[in-house]
Amino acid sequence: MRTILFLTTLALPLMAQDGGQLYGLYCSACHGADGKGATGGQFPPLAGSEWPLGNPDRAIKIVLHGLHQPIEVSGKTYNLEMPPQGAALPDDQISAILTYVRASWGNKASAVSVDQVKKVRAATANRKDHWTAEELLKLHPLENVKPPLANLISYYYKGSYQSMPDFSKLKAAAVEEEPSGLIDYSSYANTDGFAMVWEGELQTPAGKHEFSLDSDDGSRLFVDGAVVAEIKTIGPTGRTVKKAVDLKAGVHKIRVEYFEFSGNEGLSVGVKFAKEKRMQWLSKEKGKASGKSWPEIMLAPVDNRPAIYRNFIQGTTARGIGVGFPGQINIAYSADNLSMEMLWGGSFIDAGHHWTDRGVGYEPPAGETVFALSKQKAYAFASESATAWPAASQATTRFRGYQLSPQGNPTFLVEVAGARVFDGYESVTDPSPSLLRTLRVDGKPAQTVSLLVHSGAHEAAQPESFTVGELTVRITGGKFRYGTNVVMVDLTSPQAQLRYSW
Amino acid sequence: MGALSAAPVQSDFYKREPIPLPPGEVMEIGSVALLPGQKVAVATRRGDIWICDGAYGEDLSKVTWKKFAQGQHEPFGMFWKDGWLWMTQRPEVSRIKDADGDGVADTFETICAEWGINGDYHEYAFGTEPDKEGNIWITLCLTGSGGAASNWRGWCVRVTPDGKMIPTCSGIRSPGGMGFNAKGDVFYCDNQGLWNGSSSIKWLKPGSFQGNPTGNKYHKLANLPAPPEPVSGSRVETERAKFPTYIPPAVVLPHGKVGQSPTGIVADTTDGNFGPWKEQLYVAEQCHSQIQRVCLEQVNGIYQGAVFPFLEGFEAGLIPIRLDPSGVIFTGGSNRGWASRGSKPFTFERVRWTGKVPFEMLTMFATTDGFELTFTEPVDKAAAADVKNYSMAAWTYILQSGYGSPEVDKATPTIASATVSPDGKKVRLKVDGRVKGHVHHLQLKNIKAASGAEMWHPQAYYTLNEIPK
Repeated sequence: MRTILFLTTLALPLMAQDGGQLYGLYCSACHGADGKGATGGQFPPLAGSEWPLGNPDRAIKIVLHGLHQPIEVSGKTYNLEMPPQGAALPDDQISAILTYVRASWGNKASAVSVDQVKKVRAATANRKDHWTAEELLKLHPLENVKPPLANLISYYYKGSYQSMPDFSKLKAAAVEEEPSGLIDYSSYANTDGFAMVWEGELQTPAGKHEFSLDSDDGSRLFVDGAVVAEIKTIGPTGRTVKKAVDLKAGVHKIRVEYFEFSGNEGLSVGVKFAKEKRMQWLSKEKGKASGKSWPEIMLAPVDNRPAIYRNFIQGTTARGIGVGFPGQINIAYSADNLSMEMLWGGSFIDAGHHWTDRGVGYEPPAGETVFALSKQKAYAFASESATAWPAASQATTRFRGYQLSPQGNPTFLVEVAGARVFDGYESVTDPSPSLLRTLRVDGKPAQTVSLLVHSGAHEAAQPESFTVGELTVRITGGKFRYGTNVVMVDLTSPQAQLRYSW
Repeated sequence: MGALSAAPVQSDFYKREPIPLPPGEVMEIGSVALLPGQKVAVATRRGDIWICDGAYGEDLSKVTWKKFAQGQHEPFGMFWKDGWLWMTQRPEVSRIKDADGDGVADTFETICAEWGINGDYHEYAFGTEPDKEGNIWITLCLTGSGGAASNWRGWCVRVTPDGKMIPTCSGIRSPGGMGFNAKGDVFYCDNQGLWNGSSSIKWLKPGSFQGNPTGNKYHKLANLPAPPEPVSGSRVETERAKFPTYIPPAVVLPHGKVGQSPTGIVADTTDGNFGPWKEQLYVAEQCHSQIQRVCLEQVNGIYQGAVFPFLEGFEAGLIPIRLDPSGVIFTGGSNRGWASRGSKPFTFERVRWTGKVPFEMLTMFATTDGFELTFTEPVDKAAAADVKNYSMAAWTYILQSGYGSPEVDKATPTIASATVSPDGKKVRLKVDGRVKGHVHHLQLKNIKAASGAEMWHPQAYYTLNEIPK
């Protein structure tokens, strides 16, 4: 009996690794026991994906070092983080797992040997970071993926264009073949003052297909020689034009024209084939309108009560508190800098980004007119003679939270140098839509405390008002004091009221 | 009822029930707090706080929900004290209440916002209920789980009721939840990753270092002694011998074998209302949608002990766990961003004991020459005295700056003798070849109760940090 037990124990390490079992243990929680991606496809599938097939080095590298940042798998973009497994899984286990993945759920690709894993591990021994999809695709392009546009040629023109030029009168500074089959200006230019044309071929089934075009600045899309979509003027992305076109099955000529005057660039071209839900991108950039990998969850006041959103809001600090008031007036208060730092009209904020997957990044305000007011600690001892806002505030401060009025309007509380400042906000419609800010001081600070109202350029500086572009700020119960690119209020009266309107 | 020889199943002993959620709401539960009057508050990862009435009732279809607050920043740790709902949310410790009595929170008081955040999604903050002194213990996840870009990342801090922050332990990677043992010492779950070969539950002894040096530099902010700088590629056992403040994981939860994303911790102080597991810990698990059972002991001043598989089949990844003294576990969670075996995007559930005690190992303790097992009922003495019915494997993990670790330094301790106590409820195993610092995986077979009952979970994983003198 003892002998048998001894042999069993000895035999175990010699047994070949069971790829299916290891996959179940280490991979299936995310990629799914059926390879389709856990939780109804919230995680990238391996079944039917091109990524684990073809050259095994690509998959070995992902398993060894992990992968982060966006990755497109079977037409869907994921932005999660695959943790590196190289330190946890020995070569034989990785080989067994990948062999299993490449031969399961309809996948058909060769086995991955222990030696292949060993070789890749040695060749990438110094790598410390996760891979990105972009990096891997340069090293190991997906084998069985056809370029979206066949026979794609690009033409590059240098010049300062404020509208689409007549290309027949221009001479291209460069002409290139684009084997990637993707419309992409970035290999030529990320600068101001150029125009480009791409010509290629798109294979389509029969049906009414929806084309989508967005750009910064202008662009034009032709299908079989006819203009399908056009963005004529200088301006940012977000002006997506969509057009459905009835096409016969077969190959169709695609032409895209684009010009960039100055500032940011952007160009996305896509097509959603009839009966398909997903946009297929013909450009390297994916348009914002339908290229986001998260659904829109636009927050708004409910029952006329302001919406509150504590999260990472672009344009303020990490301790941001967004408030969406009735009447399309919104603010972002910084609990680090202790003041309203942004004010905007229109929609409040899209929480879809933070509420999908892991919620990576800062979300910008959803409205159109955004006023950036300040970006520094908002309380300081600023002497009468000071012309600049003190870089380091000497006034001790502490954020103490907020109180909601019966209508749901917030009043933030800050302790400053022994006094308490109540900083309340509400939207009003009378006499015109405005944000009303009420400052109440309770107690007496050790010395006069000043509040930073605005930092940056401003106009029409008066003791009772100033403007920043379209925004006018008026004060009652106090006076504005001005320094170089600074507007402040000395908190000497028990109550002051500021009205922001535009 | 079924014959005694039928294979035991969870529903014989524990009744797991999903609690209906407010229709149409996304309830990715990150915190649970027990309120007076048998009400239960939950906080969602989206930052809503809801109060549930009826969660203790027999008929769960009668539960009602009331939204108490909105817009908080991913709270992970919430409790009720003196009319306030306290929470540890990403940027701060806050307490909130309904001052005007309309059923909705109107006062949001910031207690402490002293730690750093920079917008990185991984900079989570997990908080406990108050300790005996009223302090909340908070573990601050590393930036992106691999860096320390904001103040006190990788540290445990305590926050006093008046908002003072006391940096307390260093060496933390990526916490998933926290809790106290019955004695009031504080533990947290740290997840497998850099400098963390396997997930484990760790003892937050004040002044201790937990193994990951990424956030070490912040000791300078408070003039604290520099935490240890362990050598990558070493072992916990080796490094802790060099650094007296390095406290080893109390109980390793072997990665993949016993979950792979442990979260909330709660001690059984129900005095028998949840079964015989007096003062043991229940540890929630996100990835495998389970609850593990942990039996701790202190040997030579260091915590260690065994983890036993316990409850499973929850409908999403579990995050918080609370246990009412009457014997009801409330738990819930989400699988957003991190997948789970439970395939629903979120869940809120309760577990109650049926009153039937499973035949299980109740405890596993280290002895000078082996281990002592106690059982929930007398064992079949003949089987339990046969060493062939036990087997043991032992291993540890590499302590390294890379992600995770394989199981290494494998050993096969042998069971030299098994001595059954006269009442049949204890077995003393003499074990040759135990390895200090290793996880010891004990498997039992063919051991039934004297009553004929089969064992529900015939295995345990014991982390042998210290050997009793």
